[in-house]
Amino acid sequence: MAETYLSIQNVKKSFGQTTVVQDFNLDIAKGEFVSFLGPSGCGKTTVLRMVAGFEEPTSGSIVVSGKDITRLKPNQRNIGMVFQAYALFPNLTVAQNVAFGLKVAGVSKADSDARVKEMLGIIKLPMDEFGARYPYQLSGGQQQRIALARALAPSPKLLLLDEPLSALDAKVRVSLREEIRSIQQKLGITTIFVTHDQEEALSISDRIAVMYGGRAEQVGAPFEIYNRPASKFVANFVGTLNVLEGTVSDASNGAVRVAAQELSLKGKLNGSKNGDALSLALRPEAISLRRRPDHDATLSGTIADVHFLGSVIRVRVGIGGSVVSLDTFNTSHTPPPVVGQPAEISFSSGDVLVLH
Amino acid sequence: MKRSTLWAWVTFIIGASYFFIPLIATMEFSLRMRRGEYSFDAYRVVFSDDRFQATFGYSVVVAIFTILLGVLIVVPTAYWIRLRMPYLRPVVEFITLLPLIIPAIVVVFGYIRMYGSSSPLPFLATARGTDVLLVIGYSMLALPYMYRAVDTGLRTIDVRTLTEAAQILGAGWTTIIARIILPNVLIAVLSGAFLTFAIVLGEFTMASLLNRPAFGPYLQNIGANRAYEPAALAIIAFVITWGCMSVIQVLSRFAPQSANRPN
Repeated sequence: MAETYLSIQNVKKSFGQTTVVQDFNLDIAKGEFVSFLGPSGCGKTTVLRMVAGFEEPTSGSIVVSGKDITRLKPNQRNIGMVFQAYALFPNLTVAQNVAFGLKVAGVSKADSDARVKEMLGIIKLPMDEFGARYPYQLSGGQQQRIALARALAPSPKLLLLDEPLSALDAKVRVSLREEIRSIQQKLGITTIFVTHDQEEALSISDRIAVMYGGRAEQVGAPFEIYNRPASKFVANFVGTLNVLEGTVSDASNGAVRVAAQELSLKGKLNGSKNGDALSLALRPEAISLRRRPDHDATLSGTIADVHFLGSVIRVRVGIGGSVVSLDTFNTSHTPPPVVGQPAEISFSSGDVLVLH
Repeated sequence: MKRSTLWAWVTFIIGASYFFIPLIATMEFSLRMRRGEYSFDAYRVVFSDDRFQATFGYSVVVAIFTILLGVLIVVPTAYWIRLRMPYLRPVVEFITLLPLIIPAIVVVFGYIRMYGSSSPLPFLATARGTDVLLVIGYSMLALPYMYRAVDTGLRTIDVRTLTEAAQILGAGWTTIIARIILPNVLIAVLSGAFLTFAIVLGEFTMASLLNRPAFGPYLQNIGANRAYEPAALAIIAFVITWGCMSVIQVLSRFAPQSANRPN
């Protein structure tokens, strides 16, 4: 990794007897886009608020560009932040909102005006058309873009995004997240993005910190997080996952018994002993509804459910007590499977994630 | 006309009559000073009375200082309670309601005992000191109205997020209150201010017992000794109060609208 720009070191946060963040460590390089992904109450927003200065860590430190900012007040940190609820100042126009940080910093009127115009240009809401409008005259997506411009106008060291897309409708959410990523890359600003939406995190992040119970369960690139989850929680939380319960029948040969059928998972059992119970996880896209030459593992079952979704058919296959979900492409010359019909699924044993 | 609409109109007319008939009667009586014809003689007498001008002027000045003191106390307090100590809201609301429960006369006697000329804080030793005490007393009397008006105003904005948004942009507390919070609750503050103005203008007990030349004692004095002038004064006081209310209505049209409206 490139040189560390933001370092969150052994940070812990407790409210009374409740510890919401424990032993959180993360180093972020300059210009990196890191997402904190996790369910509600996992501590992701609390870590973000500690970086912003709105919460003080119970212990640990936060260092930006070699300077310890742990005890600095939010207005001394030179950090930009975008909030879920937009938080535009209702009494100020768009231009005044964007200029707010510059005015507080004592930037001259001429420089401030030029910067406001530049920022509104970057977010594609031109000064001439939008500068004099008030926040209530804008749509949610426009308000959030103004909030982004306002956060970026004073050239902050860091950009913090606290679920900025949650209040927007699905279509605006997708376009705005792409715009955020493109502006972030253009300006090269180090960014932390908090979200509970895995698709958002996977699509725009350089790295993702998956959080659970106040800890970072796994930190890695989206590809790594999705394909090599470090824990059962990460595997379940990120993407759709089929979990089959099995028992090690012959540890030396990597044989595992699943629903009275034998599977060979040589080299994946990590020191498990005969009789150990295992959870075997498979992504839907790794499974085929027929045998394939490149797939070395098969399981037999019965078609339990078929959902026709247009371009894709979602099939659920019952195997013993478990149900495996998979998608097949719709082709006009192949009819969809029939419920109750016997089925054989195949996959590569290399795609099986063994969750201990 | 539908039956329900008819009843709505009947109720409205009865209610309007209840308010307007005494007002019209008072107005009509105030115009009958000259025998056999209507005239504005009573109003002319009132407006040309030096004591009217002096007491009204005094009460307006006291009202302005009361409003300033009220804003300085209430806005930061209500803001801080909403931002940092929401658990204290019931306590503060109870405290702000006390002036409605404790009679003004009790407060004045408390003042006289506490701040008499022989006390460590001899407010009552000088006229100016008594004026200061009167302003403090009026601020307390107006507290239930001012606090509720400001608190309601603060409820319409996301105080915490706006504060944090301003803080992260480098603003300190003074900038946040002066440039973000106050402008967004200005209409609420003005509502509280005009209610305070109306209270101060008509207040009798405190001004009378502290022996200050205010408008309330003047109204009482005229009412006890004249026939037509008190009716004219009642109409004048009514017009001033309604004028204040109208200004609140007009200003509320300029209130900044909330930005916190997700799609």
